[in-house]
Amino acid sequence: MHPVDFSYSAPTSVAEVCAELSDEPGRACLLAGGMSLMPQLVRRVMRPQRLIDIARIDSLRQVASTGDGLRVGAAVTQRTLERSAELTGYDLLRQALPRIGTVPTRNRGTIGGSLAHADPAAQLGVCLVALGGELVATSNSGSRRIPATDFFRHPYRTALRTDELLTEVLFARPARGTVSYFESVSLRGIGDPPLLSVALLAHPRADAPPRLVVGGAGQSPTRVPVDVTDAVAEFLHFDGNTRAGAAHRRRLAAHTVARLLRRFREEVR
Amino acid sequence: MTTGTHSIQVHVNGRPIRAAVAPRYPLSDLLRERAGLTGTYVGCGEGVCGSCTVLVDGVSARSCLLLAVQADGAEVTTVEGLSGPDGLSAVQSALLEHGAFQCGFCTSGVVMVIEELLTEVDAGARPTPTEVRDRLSAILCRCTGYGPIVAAANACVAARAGQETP
Repeated sequence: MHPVDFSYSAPTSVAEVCAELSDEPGRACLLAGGMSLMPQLVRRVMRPQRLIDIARIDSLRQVASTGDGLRVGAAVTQRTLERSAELTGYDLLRQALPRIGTVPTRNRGTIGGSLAHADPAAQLGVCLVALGGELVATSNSGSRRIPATDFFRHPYRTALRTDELLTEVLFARPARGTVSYFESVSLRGIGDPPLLSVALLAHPRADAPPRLVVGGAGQSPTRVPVDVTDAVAEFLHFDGNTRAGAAHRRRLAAHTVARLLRRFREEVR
Repeated sequence: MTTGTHSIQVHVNGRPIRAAVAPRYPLSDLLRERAGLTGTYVGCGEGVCGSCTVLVDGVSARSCLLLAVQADGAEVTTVEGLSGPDGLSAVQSALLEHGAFQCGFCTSGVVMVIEELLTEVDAGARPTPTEVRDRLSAILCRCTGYGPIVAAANACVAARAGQETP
C-alpha cells in the first residue's frame, strides 16, 4: 500500500528545518532514513501532512570521537557508524550495531532516527542508557541538551518537543578496560525485530557491580539491579503482543540478564 | 492541501530517468512503472521481505521503503543493470548453477545483496560463512529454498576472494 498524500521538503540546513517545524507544529514529520517511519506510513498507522527530509543536511552527518564521548550527528546511518574507525573504545556499540535490522536497512536507517522513534526494545536506546551521554535538540529558540537518562519518557515517546529536531547524540566514553556485553533476543535471529535488548557494562577492577540495562515492548530502557533473577518482574513491566506475552518477556529478560552475569563472572571475575 | 509533484532525476543503470512524482510515490514504483524495469519485484511493500532490494549509490536499499524523491540525484542499480552483452553476471550464473530458485520472486533481491557483499570482498573484506548467512537474512525466500542460495553466495565470495570453493 502507498502512504497517504503528504507534502515534502528537503532542506539543506538545520535552521530551515526548525523554521518549517515551527510553521506547522505537530503536522510535519521528520524523515531521515525512513526505516521506522516508512513502514508506519505504508500501513497508514501514521498520516502526516508533511515530511521534512533531513538526510541531505551535511552538518547532521558527522561522527567525531572526543575525550568525553562519541559525537554522532542525527542523520549518520547505522551502517556508517558500524564501519567507522571512530568506534574504537565503544565495544558495546560495536556489538549492538550489527544487530539492528539488516544491512539494507542499516544502509538507510540513522542513529538519530532510531533513538527518536524510541522503540523500547531497540538496540541503540539500550546502549545509550547504558553508556550514558546526552542528546542535543534544536529548535527556533536554540539548542538544549537532554541527558540520556531523561530522553525516553515512554515507549515511542521521547523528551523531544514537536518543534524540535534531534541534531546530535553523545555516547559517553566508557572507562578504559570496561567490559561490555550486548544481547538482543528475537524470534528468528538476525534481521528480526528484537523482543528485548540487554546491555552489561562493568569494570573488572572496580568494586561497583555491573551496570545492566534492559528494554523491551512496553518497557523503555531502564537500569535493573544486578541481583535480579526471577525478581526481575518487580522492576520490568513489559507488554504482551502477538510475538510474545508479557510474562514470557519477563522470563526472557531474567534469563538473558543471568546469562550475561554468568559470562561476566566466568570470563572476568 | 495540495501536495504537488516534484521533478526528479535518478540515474538507473547509468541511464537518466526524469520524472514528476508525488512525494508518496516509492522508488520501487518509479523503477517498475516509469523506467519499465520490472525485474525489481515488490513482495510485502513494507520493508520486511527484501524482494525489492536495489543498490542506491552502491549500497543495498529496500526500494519500497524509499520515496522516489529521496532518490533524486542518486545512482540506482537494478538487476537489469548487472548482466551485460556477455550474458549473466557472475552472481546470476552462480545462482543458476546452484539451482537457487524455486518461484524466483526473491531472486532479484538475493542477487543485489550478494553483489553488495562482493563489492566489500573487493575492498578486502573476507566474510565468514556465518556472516554470509547473516547478510542473506535480509531477503526472505517464502519457498524456503535457502540452502542453494547460501551455497551460491558462499561460492561467489570464495571465487571473488580468490580461494577455492570449500
